[in-house]
Amino acid sequence: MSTSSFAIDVPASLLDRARRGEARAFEQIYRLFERPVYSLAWRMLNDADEAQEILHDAMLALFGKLDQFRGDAPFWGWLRQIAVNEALMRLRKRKLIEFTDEVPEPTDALEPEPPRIDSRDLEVALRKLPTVTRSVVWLYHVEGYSHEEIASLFDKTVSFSKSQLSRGTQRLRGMLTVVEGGLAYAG
Amino acid sequence: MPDEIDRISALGGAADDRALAEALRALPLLTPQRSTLPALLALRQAQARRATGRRPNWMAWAAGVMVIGLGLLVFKAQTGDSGHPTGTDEPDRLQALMQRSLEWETALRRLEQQNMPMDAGTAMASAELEDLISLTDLQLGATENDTQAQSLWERRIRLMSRLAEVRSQPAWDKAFPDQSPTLLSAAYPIN
Repeated sequence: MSTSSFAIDVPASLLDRARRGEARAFEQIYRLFERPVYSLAWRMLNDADEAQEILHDAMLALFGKLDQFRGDAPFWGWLRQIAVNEALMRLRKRKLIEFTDEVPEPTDALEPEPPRIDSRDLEVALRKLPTVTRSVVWLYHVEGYSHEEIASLFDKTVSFSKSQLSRGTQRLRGMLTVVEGGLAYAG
Repeated sequence: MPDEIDRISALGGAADDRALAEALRALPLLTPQRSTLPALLALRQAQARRATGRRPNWMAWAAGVMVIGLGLLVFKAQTGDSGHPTGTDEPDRLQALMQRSLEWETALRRLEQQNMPMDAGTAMASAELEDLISLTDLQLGATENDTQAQSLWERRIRLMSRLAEVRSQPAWDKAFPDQSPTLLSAAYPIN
């Protein structure tokens, strides 16, 4: 089962009504996915205005391509791919996808039990990651993309995806220090 | 290289990674400050018109949208227009409301771009109205009923017209210092 916030079942009848151009059906689909699309875009680009534009462009593309959706995969996955592509297009425009496949320094293994992490601290730490690193971390951990899929999206190698994930995870760990009862933002 | 990276990742602490992934997934969804739906629906409408061969007059509309937005503001101030289109059937009425909503969105964006200085009272009133618009958007997302949707769209339009009024008040006061500052606000009861 997917952990993605996009994983919402959309009735075929609703899609049919949207294909016929019914405004109310468009509205319902929009309302269902507005927050998942906006959140994904915001997490990847860390910019409210750009996230708003991605939401607009992704939904416009969705409604324009609805006739092309054949239904052989979940609708939400199809829409999520459109949203990811829109976000990646913005990253390419920013010329941010120009990374070497750096391998970060290893760190020592730590505690056996998963610590608790405060969501506000995590929000702050996440925003401090480089854009591409944050995007890879988000696509892998939250949206459930594989390294192979991420490599393909970024037009890079699998080791690029792995190194970005490793780098991001380590940086997040570094920013979230161990305190009593869990991890907290260390600045 | 991939093997080496796998080894490094494993050294990082699997429990930590698991906790981090879980915490990332538990972060709340974010809500856009303003819905882009009215603009999308209007665009779809224009595309549909083009597809059926009817001339959309879209460019003229786009060029004159600021005039329309501000014209509506003045018109509503003078007449107390409640935002109800008349003489249309239900789907057309919904479309008309969405279109009107888009016009207000555009007018508001233009006002924002002017970056007019705002005093604390105006900023607070703007923030409250924006919250109410967001709340209306949430309610619109939850409703399945067309009649209820229409009344929510009407409310959205009233709130946006009020927001435009609040945001343009500083410029109004500057241009007409002797005019009563409550001239516009009296025309917009929000229910």
